[in-house]
Amino acid sequence: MLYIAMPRLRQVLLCALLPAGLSLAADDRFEKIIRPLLVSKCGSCHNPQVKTGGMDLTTPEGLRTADREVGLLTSGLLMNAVRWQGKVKMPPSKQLAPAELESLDSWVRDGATLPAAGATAAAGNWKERYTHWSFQPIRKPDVPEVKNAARVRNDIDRFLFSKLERAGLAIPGDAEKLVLLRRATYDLHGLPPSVEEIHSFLADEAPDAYERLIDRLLASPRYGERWGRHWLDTARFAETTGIDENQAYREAWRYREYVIDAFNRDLPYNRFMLEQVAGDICVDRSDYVRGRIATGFLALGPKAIVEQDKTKQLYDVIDEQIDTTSKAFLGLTISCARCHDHKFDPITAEDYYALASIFRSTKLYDTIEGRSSTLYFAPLAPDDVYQKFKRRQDEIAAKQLQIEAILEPEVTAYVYREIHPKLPDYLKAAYAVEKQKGFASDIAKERKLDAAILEKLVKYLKPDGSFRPFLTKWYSATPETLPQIAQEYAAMIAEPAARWRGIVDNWAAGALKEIAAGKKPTPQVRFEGFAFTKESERFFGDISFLAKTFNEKDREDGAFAIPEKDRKRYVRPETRAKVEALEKELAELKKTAPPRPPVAHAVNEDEPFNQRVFIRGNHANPGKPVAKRFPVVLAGENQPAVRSVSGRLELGQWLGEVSNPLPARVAVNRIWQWHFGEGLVRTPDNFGLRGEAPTHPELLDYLATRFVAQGWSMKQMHKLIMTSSAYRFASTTSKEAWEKDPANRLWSRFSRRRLSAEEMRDSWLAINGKLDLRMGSFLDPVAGTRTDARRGRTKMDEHFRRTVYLPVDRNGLATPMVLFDFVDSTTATGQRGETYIAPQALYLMNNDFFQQQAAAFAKRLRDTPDLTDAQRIEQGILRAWGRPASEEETKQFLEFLTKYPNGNQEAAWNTVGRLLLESNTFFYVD
Amino acid sequence: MSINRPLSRRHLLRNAACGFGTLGLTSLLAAENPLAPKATHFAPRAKRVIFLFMSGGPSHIDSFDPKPKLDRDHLKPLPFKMEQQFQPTLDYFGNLMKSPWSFKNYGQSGLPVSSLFPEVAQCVDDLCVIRSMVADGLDHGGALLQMHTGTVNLTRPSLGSWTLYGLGTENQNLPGFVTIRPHAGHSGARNWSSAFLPSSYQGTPIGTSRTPVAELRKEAIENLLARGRTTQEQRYELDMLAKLDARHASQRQFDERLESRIQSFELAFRMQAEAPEAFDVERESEATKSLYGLNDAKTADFGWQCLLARRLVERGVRFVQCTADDWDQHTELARLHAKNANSVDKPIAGLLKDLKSRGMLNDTLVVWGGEFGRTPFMERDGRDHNPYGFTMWMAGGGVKGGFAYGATDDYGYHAVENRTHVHDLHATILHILGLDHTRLTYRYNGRDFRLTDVHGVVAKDILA
Repeated sequence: MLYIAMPRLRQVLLCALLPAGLSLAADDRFEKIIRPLLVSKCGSCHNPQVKTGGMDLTTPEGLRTADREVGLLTSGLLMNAVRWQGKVKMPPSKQLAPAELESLDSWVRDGATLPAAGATAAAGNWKERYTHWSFQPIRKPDVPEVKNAARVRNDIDRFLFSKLERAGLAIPGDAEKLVLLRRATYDLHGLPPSVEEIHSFLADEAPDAYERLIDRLLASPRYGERWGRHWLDTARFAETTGIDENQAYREAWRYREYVIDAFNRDLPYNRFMLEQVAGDICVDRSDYVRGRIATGFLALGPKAIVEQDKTKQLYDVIDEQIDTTSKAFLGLTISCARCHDHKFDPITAEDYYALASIFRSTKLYDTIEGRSSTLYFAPLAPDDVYQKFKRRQDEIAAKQLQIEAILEPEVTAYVYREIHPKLPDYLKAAYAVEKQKGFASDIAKERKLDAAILEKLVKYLKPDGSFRPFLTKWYSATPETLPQIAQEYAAMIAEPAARWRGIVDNWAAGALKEIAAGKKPTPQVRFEGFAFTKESERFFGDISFLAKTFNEKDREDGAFAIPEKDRKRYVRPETRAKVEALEKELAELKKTAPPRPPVAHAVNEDEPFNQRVFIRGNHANPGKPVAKRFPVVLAGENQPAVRSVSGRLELGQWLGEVSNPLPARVAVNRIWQWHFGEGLVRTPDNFGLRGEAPTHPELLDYLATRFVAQGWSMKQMHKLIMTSSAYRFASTTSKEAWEKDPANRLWSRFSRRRLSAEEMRDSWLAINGKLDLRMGSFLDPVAGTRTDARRGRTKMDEHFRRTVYLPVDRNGLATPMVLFDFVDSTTATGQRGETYIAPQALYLMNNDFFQQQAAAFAKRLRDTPDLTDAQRIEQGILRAWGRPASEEETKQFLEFLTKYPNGNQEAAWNTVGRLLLESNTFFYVD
Repeated sequence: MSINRPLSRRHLLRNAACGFGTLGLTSLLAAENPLAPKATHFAPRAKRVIFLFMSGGPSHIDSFDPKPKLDRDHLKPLPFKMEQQFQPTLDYFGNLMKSPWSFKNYGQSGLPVSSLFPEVAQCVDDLCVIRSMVADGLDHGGALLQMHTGTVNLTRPSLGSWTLYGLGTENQNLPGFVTIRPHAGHSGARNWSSAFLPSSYQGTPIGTSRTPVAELRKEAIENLLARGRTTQEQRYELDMLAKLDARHASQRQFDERLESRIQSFELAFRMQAEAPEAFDVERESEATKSLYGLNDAKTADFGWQCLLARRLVERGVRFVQCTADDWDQHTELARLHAKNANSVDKPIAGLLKDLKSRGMLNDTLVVWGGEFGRTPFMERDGRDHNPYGFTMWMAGGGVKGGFAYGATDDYGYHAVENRTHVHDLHATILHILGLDHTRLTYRYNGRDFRLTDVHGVVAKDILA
C-alpha cells in the first residue's frame, strides 16, 4: 500500500471556462476536465489497447507520445481535428459541443499541461534527485533592483516587482483603507473589524496608522485563535481516534490550547517544532506540563483500537506519525517509503525505518495487546510526584486484593456448604413459584429457604429467548419427574464446582503469600482453565458467578452468588475482624492518597528498540537493522549517534538546525500562504520532486534567511509580510494583468478569498453581538472514552464560543463544518479546499442556527434607539460588510422592506439580517 | 450536487433579473459538470444500484447457505482449527451450533432459503446468491470500511462515490449518491465519503441509523425545508440576494467563483422544490405502501427506506444505499436475528417485486449483504464475526437469477469454491455498470487510484 501524502487539491468545481490554473492545479485540471472529456469522446478508438492512428488519447503518456510523434498538441492538430476545420474531423460521428471545444482550446492555449511523467521516468537517477532545489542549502539572495522603487515598502516588494516588471505589468495600486482594515483583521483574527475599530482607523491619519494596526492585531489573543487553527490543520488535530472505535481524546483540548498560546506568545518556531516532538524531554521542571502537552502533536493522530494484528496497528501509528511530522515540518512525503524506496524523492526505505525506530522507541499506547488497546495518558506532573501517586494506587489495589483473598475462600466454602446442597430444594421451590403455587417469599419461608436467592433463581429460569439447551430438561419437568430432575441438576454442577473451588483456593493462597513477601499480588482468577463449553459448566457459571465476572452488559448476579456488600456476613468472626481492620487501613490509604495528577494525550520514552527495515513494508519480513537517524539527503551520511532513548530529542533539535534546508522554507511558505491564499510553493506539504517549484525561489530563501535571523519569530514575519506593498495590493485586476497572470503566480493582485467555516460562524456571532470570547478550557467534550461516545456529536449550535474551541470528531464533523470545507483531520493538511455546492446555500436558506443569528442581528439593529430605518440599514452594512453603505444600497434595502410580500416587518428585517450575512460581500475578503 | 456553471456575466445578470427557473441544467456537458451523465467503458447491464446493507453481519448459515452437517454435529467441538476470532476470550465459546431455522427450496430454481426470509424466498428466482464472499476486516470498523471503500483502515472514496465519478447522475436537482440511515459509528462518514475525489461525489446521508424515521419523513436532508417562510418570501429574498451579489460581482471582474456561489443558491432553490416530492413516500398508492410493509409497525421503517430508494432511483439518482442495523448477534441469535429478518423481509421482497412490475429490475442492480457473516460455532447463544466465508446476493441488472455461486465448507466457516473477495465484488458491481475497474482511475498525488487498488477479478460466471 502506498501511503500518500499531499494536500487535498483545491476543489473549485467551476472550471471549464476558467483560464488556466486559477486555483486549479495543472494535474487537477487535466484529471477533472480534460481527461474525462478525452476518455468519453475519443477513448473508444484512441485508448492504450486500441490505438487508432497510433494514438492513445486517454493517458498522459499516450498524449505525450502523440505530441512527440505528430505534434498533436503543439502543432494544433488536435484543435483542428475537433473543430472539424481540416480534412480530419474528430470525433467523426458528432462534433464536440462548444463548451467542450472551449475547454480543450483553453487547455491547449495554456500549454496543454500534462501530469508529470510516471514513477519510472523520475526514478532514473538517484543522484540527480539530490540536486532538487529544496534540498540545497538556503542562500541569502541579492535583492533585485526595480524600476518602481517609489512603490517599494520593503524587500519583499523588490522580488515581486522585478518579476511583474519583466512581465510588463503595472504595479497594482493599494487597496482602500477600509478594505485593508477588513483584510488584515480577518487575516490575523478571523473576525470582522468592529464599528469602533472602523471609526478609529478611519480617523487615524498618521503615516504609521497601518503599522500600528498590525501591531495591535498581533498583540491580541484573537491572533492565536486564528493562527493556531492554521497549525491545527497541519497537525491534523481532532478529538477522537477515528479509524475503528473513534474513542474520544478527552484531553485533546490541552494541545489545542498549547498551540494557541504558542502563537500568542510568539514562541520561536524552532522551539515550537522541538517541543512538539520532544517536549517531554527538552523542558526543565518548571515547564514540565507545557512540554508534555506539546507532544500531543504526535499523540493525537488517528489510532486504531481493535485492530486484530497488533504489530500492524502499532506500525500504522508510527507511519502516521512519520507522515504528519515529515509533511508538517519538512514538506516531505516520507511515509511513501514504508514499502519501498520513495518513487520520486531521494528517500530510502532505510531512511523511513531509521525514523520508525525513533517512534517505535516511544510510548504510543498504554497497552496495545488484548482485544482493545488502551490509550496512553501522560501524567502532568514531574516524575517523582507521579511515582508517589502511583505507589499509593498500587498499595490500594494490593490492599483490596488482600481483602478479596481472605474473603473469597471462606465465602465460597460457605456457599458450597450451605447453599449448593439445597439446589434440589431451590429448584423444587422455583417450580412451585412458576406454577403459581404462591409468592416466592412465602414459599421460601415455608420451606426454610432464602427468599432473595429463590427470587433470583426463578427469574433466571424463565425462558428469555436465549439459547440455553441445558435448561431443556428443566422445562420438561412434571410434578412426577421434578424430584429426579432436581437431583440431576445437583449432580451436574458437582464436578465444575469442585474444580472452581480449587482454582479459587489456589489463587487466594498464592496472593496472600505474594503480599506477605511484599510482592504485587496476582489479580483474581476469572476463567482461566475454565472453558465454558459443557452444559454443566454453563449452568454452574450462570448460577454461581457475580455479574461483574462476566464481560457482558445486562448480566445479573448468579442466584447463588453472595452479593458483594454482604460477603463479610458469611465468614468466621475472626476473619471478619481481620477484614474490617484491613478495610480501615484501606480507607486510610485512600484518604491520604496524593491527588490524581491531571493527564494529557502525550508520548513518552519507551524501551529503546532496534528497528529493522521491513521488506515491502511487511513487519513479518524484517530485513537489515537500521540505526536511528534522519534522511541522508538532508542530514548527510555521517550523523552522530542518537543518545536519548528514542532519539526524539535529536530529531527536534535537528529540525531547527540552520543547516537543515527544509523547515525554515516550509514554515515561511506556510505563513505566506496563510496570508496570500497560495504559497510561493503551491504544494505546501510537498517540497519534493513532485511538488511545485517556487514561483519566486529567491524570495522564499530571502524570507527563510530572515526568519531564522529574527529568531524564528512568526510575529516578525507577519509584520514584514503585511507591511509590504504586495500585501496591500487591491484585489481587483485589469484585463491585461488577468490575461498574463490568471493564476496570480506573479502576485499581480491580492487574492480575494472566501471566509472559512470558522470565520463564517464567528463573524455571525461577532456581528450580532453574541460571540463569547472566553478562551481556554474545553466544552462539550466528546464525553469520555466510553464506547457510546462515538455517537456524541459536536453540538456547535448550542455554544457561542469561537469555533476553534468546539470539539472535532474525526468520524463525524458537524454539518456546517463539512459543508464549508473544514479539513479532513486524518492527515496533515496545508491548504483547505474551496467548493461551491448547493447544500451550502440550503444551509444558509434554511438552517435554524443561521436563521437565529440573522434574526438576532436584525433585532440588534431594530433595537438601537433613535435611528431611522435608513440609519439602521447603514449600521447593518457597516457591521456586516465593514464599510459604509452606498446611497443606492440603502435605498434598495428600504424598498425591499416596504415591498416585502405580506408586509410583515419583522420577517422583512430578519431577511435583511440574513442578506447581510449571506451575501458575497460578506463572504469574500478583498 | 455541486454546481458548476460557467456562465457569462451578461447571461447571469439577465437570469438574475428574471428570477427562478430559467437556468436549465440540461445543457451542461461532461466537460463542465462533474455530475453530468458520462459514457461507460462498455455497454452497461445496469444503470443504477440499490445496496441493501445489513449492518452488523447477518448469518449466512441461518439464511441462504444451508449446512446439514451443522445440524448433525450440533454442540460438538469445532472439527478444525479456529481462525483468529473477534472475541475468543468470552465464555461459552467454540462449539458448533445448528441453525434455529429450517431451510426449504423455493421457486423454479429450487434455491434454498431459511424460514428467516419467507418473503424474499418468493423472489428467489431473481436472486444471484454469492455464497463464497471473503473479507479482511474482523471488526465492524474495518469491515464496514472495506465493504464501502475497499480498504480496512484508510480514507478512500466509497463505492457510491466511484460510481458517481464514473457515471455521473441523471437528475441534477437531486443528489446522485444517497445513503439512507447509515451507521454513524464504525468508520462513520468515511463509508460514504468521496475522500480525494471532488466533493461533488460525496454521499448525501439521510439521517443515521439512530435517527427516527418519523423525523426523516419530515425532512430527509438537513436544511432542505424552508422554515416559517413561504416560497414567495424566499424567492423575494433570493432575488434581492442576486441583485446584491450581481452588484458586488460587477465591481470584481474575472472571479468566476462569485458567480458560482450565486448559482448555488438557484440550484438549492430548485432542489428544495423538487427533492421534497421525491422524498415523499405518502404519494404512493396504498397498495404500493402495503407491498413494502409500510402499514405494519414491524416493517414500516425499512419499508420506508426501500420505497424511498425506489422513488429516488426512479428519478435518476445513481446509487442508493439502505441500511438495516443491529445484525450483530453475538448472543441471542434466535430471537434477534428473527426480529431483524422480520423487519426487512417484506420490504426487500416488496422492492424486488415493485422494481420488476415497473420494468426497472432489468437495469437496476440490487445488492444485499453485511460486512461479514457469522461463525458456525457458538459464542454463548449467538455467533461471532465471520469474514472467512459469507453470503451476499444480487438481483436484477443482468445477473443470473435463481443462481448460486461459490460455496463454503461443510460448516460454513471458510469460502472454498469461487472465493469472492470484497474487491472482486466491487469489480463485479462496476462491471455490471459498464465500468472497467482497472480503468476507472483518479490521479491523486501522482498516482492513479482505483476502487479495487491492485486487486479485483470480475465474477463473470454470475452475469446473465
